[in-house]
Amino acid sequence: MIKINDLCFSWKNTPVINIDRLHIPVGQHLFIEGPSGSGKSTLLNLLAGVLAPQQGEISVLGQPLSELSGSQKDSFRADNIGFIFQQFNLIPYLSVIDNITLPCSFSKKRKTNALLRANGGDLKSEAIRLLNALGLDDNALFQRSVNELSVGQQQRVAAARAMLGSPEIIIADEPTSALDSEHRQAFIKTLFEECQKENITLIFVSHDKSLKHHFDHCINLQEINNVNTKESV
Amino acid sequence: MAILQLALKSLWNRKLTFFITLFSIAISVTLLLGVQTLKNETKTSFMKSISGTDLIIGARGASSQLLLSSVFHIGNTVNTIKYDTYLTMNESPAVEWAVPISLGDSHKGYTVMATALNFFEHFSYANQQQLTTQQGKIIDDMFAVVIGADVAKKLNYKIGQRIVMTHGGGEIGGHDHDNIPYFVSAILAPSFTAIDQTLIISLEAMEAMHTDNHGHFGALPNEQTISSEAEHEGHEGHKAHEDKHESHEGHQSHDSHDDHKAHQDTHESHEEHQSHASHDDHKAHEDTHESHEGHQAHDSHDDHKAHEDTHESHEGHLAHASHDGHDDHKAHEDTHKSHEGHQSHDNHDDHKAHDKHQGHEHHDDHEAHEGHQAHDDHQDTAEQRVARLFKLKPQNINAVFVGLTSPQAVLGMQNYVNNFQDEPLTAIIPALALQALWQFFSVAEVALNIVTVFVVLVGLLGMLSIILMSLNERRREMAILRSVGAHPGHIFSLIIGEAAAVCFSGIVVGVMLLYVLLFVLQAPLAQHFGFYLDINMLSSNDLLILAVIQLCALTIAIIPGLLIYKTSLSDGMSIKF
Repeated sequence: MIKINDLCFSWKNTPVINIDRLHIPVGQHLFIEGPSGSGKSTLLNLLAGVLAPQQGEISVLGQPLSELSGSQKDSFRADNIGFIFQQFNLIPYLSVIDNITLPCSFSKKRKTNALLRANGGDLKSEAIRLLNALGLDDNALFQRSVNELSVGQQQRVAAARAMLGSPEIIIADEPTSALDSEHRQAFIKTLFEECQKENITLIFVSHDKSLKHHFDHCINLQEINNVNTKESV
Repeated sequence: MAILQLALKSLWNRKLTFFITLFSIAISVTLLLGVQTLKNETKTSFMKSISGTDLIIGARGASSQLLLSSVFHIGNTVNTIKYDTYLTMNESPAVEWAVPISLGDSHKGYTVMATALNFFEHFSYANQQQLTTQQGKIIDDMFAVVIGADVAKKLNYKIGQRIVMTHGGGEIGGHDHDNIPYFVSAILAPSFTAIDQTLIISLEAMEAMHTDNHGHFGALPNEQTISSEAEHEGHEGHKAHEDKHESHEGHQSHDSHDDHKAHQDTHESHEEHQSHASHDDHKAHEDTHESHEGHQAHDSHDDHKAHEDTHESHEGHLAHASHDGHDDHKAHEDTHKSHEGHQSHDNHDDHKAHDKHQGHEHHDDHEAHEGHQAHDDHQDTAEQRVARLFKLKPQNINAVFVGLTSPQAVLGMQNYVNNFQDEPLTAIIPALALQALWQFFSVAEVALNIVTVFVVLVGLLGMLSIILMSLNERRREMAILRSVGAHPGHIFSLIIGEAAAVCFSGIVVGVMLLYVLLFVLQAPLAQHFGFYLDINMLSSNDLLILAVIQLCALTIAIIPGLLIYKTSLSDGMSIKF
């Protein structure tokens, strides 16, 4: 459950986001539509607690973020939110498996969850299970440097990382923009299936309207954002 | 610890810059520790220059000057003390031993030190180590020279080699005492003290070189002319022989006695002698004559002149040296006998005196020859022979090394020496004087320290700049880490951890490099520079220095750490490029 009320955020005295109200129930797959520069990234950073609003209230899973300290917010994020970015999601010097298990270094909760799902296996086996579920079943691939993976493979590795240890929320920021249309459909399909299985709230941000039809709920950021972003950019 | 692992993996991802940084730190660490080691070793070897000597006594003056001149052979040694003072000191009940030292000459830039034979018995360095020979033997010969290991090596001197000393300290410009050559009797093993660059001769020989005529003694009073003639003939060894003969003749010529004349004639020519054969006192002459005959038979020469010529030849002399009972020698003895015969015939008082003189001289000569046989080819020059006869005693010396019967006596003895009545003296305690002198170098030490500290700083700054440069390209990495839940503190410690890892491995590599260098350089340093490097474990001081370097690296890393902390706070998860 994410609740945003009277949110106002300015970057260097320039208002970027001003949202009166936005409620996202648990398990919802929400598509937030908005062209580049409409404040999507800022909104995601606000939801993640990386940025703090000057005004208003954001509460995630019933926890008002403003009540948390900086490092508490970081831990909270590590525990509850998985992220998938447009591209370059992976740390180049870590292996595929290490990239996927990275959140477990920062969150005990996700580590426990992951191990629970592994049915007595270790984090690696859970990571491989997720990769298999996302359609990556070539074990030789996992030994390679992440730089040798194709963009589509990289995005699936990123999705596996976001899903490892079953966070409550997955925030995806244009995860398919680097993929061709065929891969895009497949990727979204797998992502949906996995989120459904784990009852994960999915927030999918994109400027690509063609993806809209996959989602039951859609929001146009420009419509709910009172700041006229086109002028401010 | 996940962060440290991340930091290491991240570092490994940037191997090239990592190794460059690592080596720049390693080299600066090597330099710093190397300078420390050299400094300590220099100090140690400096302090080890002399040990077991309780006091050094010299002319009144600065103690450092006395120490420098007597132990390190540095500086001009103008002030001298009387040899008698040394003798007085030697008899003092508190003194167990005393060794006189005299300096001032040089040989091809190396110091020549004159001392007594007991120097080798009492002088010690480092941990009461005594000087040892690597070749030859230290013998009690006036013109023997014992050379230091470096001297032997650099000048490529061998046992038995003849060398000449130079007056004064310089390589050029001094007066060569070429009329008094020395022969190398022993080469010392390296001691890594000033002795390695020193030639050690006897005090008597030093005195011989420094008499008013610089050792150009000419000859004994009654053999002057001929010896000067002889000087032109080339074979010095033989010259002396001839001198003897001549002096013998000269002696004869002083005698107006008929028999004597006849004897002289015998010497001059066999035939002449034969003509004298009918002489009343012919018995003794016949003896002489016989000996000459024998001699002649040997030499295949008719007259005595010719025999003398043979004497002049080198081979003839050698033969003489190698055979105790050689004809030559016999001839001498015979001659001698004949003189005794003379004595029996004519009781001339003057003559007797002459006889005694000759006998004595002959004996000396013989001894000298035996000495020569001991060291092969060495032959004295006329001056050396005369110098030996003079039984020179040194007048002045530069310093006395003193060992006391009890260590408690040091201060009392020092006081006694400093207040010595007969002449103004200074006594120094070597250990204390060495300490005081070392303070001298402390300025250089500080300068050296400053330089090496800056070298380390440069190394660390290199690391700082490389980390700073990496920050920008690592912003994405930081954003990803932030998205998976890393605090800015994690990011900060990632940088600090990286600096710590770079610096620590730099230190480890630096220390390893140092020891490799020390092991590699140890032999050549000792060989070519006479500097012995003792390889020790890192001292607590070294470890402290290394800890400080590590701490500095961590402190310096705070700068990029804070920067990335700030960036990762403002960047968040979105990467703005």
